[in-house]
Amino acid sequence: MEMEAIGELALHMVMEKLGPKNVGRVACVSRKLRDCAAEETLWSKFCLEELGISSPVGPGGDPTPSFKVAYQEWRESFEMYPWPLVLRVKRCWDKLSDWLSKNFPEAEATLRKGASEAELKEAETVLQVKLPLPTRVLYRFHDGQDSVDDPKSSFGRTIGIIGGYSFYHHVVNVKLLPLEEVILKTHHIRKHLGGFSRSRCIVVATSCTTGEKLFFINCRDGQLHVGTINFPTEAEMMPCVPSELLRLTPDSAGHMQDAMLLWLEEHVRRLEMGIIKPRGQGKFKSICQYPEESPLCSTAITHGVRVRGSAVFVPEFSDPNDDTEQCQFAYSIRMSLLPEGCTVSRPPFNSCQLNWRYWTIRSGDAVVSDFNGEAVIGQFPLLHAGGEEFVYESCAYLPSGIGSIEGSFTFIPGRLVEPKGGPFSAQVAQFPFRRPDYIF
Amino acid sequence: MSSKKKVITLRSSDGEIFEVEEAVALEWLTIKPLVESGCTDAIPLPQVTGNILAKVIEYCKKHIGASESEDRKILYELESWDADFIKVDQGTLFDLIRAADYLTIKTLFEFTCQTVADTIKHKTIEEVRHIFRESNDFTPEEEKEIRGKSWWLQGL
Repeated sequence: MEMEAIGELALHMVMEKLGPKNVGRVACVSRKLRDCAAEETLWSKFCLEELGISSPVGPGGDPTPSFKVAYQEWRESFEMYPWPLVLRVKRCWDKLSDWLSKNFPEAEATLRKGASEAELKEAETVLQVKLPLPTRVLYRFHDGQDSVDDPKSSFGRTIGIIGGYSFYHHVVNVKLLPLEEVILKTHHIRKHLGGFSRSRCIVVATSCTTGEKLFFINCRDGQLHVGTINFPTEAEMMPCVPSELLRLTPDSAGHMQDAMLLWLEEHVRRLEMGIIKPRGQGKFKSICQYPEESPLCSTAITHGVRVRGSAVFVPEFSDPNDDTEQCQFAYSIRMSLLPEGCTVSRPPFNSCQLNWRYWTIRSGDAVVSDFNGEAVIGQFPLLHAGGEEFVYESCAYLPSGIGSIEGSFTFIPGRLVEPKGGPFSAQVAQFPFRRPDYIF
Repeated sequence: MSSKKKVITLRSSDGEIFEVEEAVALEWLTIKPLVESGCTDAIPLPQVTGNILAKVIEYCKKHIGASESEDRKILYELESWDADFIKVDQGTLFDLIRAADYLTIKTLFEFTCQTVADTIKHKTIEEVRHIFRESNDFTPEEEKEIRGKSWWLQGL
């Protein structure tokens, strides 16, 4: 019995269940099946399911006459890559763009259009490397970020989609580089660093602020590295993604992943989960890498004073060598007085001011630092009930990659110059210092 | 609400009479309005033969309630029951599809279409033609052109 005997509706359902590749084959069986395989509703479904597109647009962003043509253009354009990899990279970028458009549209606007195959080939030739496929596909979608020239911004000339942190005068804001800059920066470093020129590493992301922070993709093993404090002299780097996750040859289903893709996916996950958030306003807005959610961020409320604390690992100031290991952590403290005011006694006070701090820092379980002192970073923050959060950053060195910090602040109800009561202590709950699996 | 275990009478194209529980018949959207209106006469189904209707009823009785179960054991058991149920010749499979289409039984329709799709998957064009007795009505020029293209452009 011929297949058409089952009727139009059933034929359509069979096609739907077959998926694009098998539909393509069935279209070659007979004219009748070819017509049925060309139906728009079918291809609009495939486009939505696989590519997440709900209108017919090709890979260049241009509208196509039909969903079928859109699908064909996508396949054609990425013919040289395993299709599951293309879809995965697309999902990663789509999620990032989606998050940026809702939370940080200025940053979304810096994403450049994709690099062409010719541009990628050219970059590979000039740099004498073969890019890992996932990185290559990532560049096909977006050729890094455009620099925003704003000399007035203290965050430098860029809005980094990776973001960063600041403490004292060190400001980090990481952006993804376009191929053009990848070539320039890689050449520059190769020229000045003998050890580096022998590696197959190329620069893919940097902080263009006062603090130099460089991320490299190693084209040999697909690992992403970041320069340590010893980078300028010894080209020393540390891996940013767990090595056991890397898979540079596609398995039978076409799945593969390099560190660049895993790193970006993890970054997107953190943004989506609210683990990290944008901070600041206007041209000072940036994606802040200090975690906002427990367990990496701690919260304690004492007598109405809320103190949140979290830390980031600072690879560019760390020395990972076994015998001289020094890990730097930057931490961010956010304190505020809840709307009900300072409840150390009744009735509550509507303000209180910090006078003293006390910290205990541990490396592993051993206390490495225990100190007392006036003020925080030279300031005596005055908190008002329901008022703005006071935020400050500082840093600490540990002789290991794991530890913690906890302590307390002494506050005076009212203000220091006009105390309304005796001093009280507000807890800063312990939060971890941990060299993470993923370094940003 | 109607009383439990109310029975609906159906008559196949070849005059065979079947009785099914109302709950089963209500899943068949084509006759649902009739069932709901409290029709007590035998409902004629002129497009379904007795032997196919028997299979359709067998499938629906087995599936009612079970498809929504979250118990893995039940679902696993149902899956292997389905696999046995659908071991039929191609003519019967196509008849089941048409019956499910005609009676608007979503689960059976999707399942039977999936079965056809599974038969086609991983088969060559010639094998598909052979299985479904489809004749190649492309001209030799068209055929040649199709062969030269990537699959997502072939024939489409």
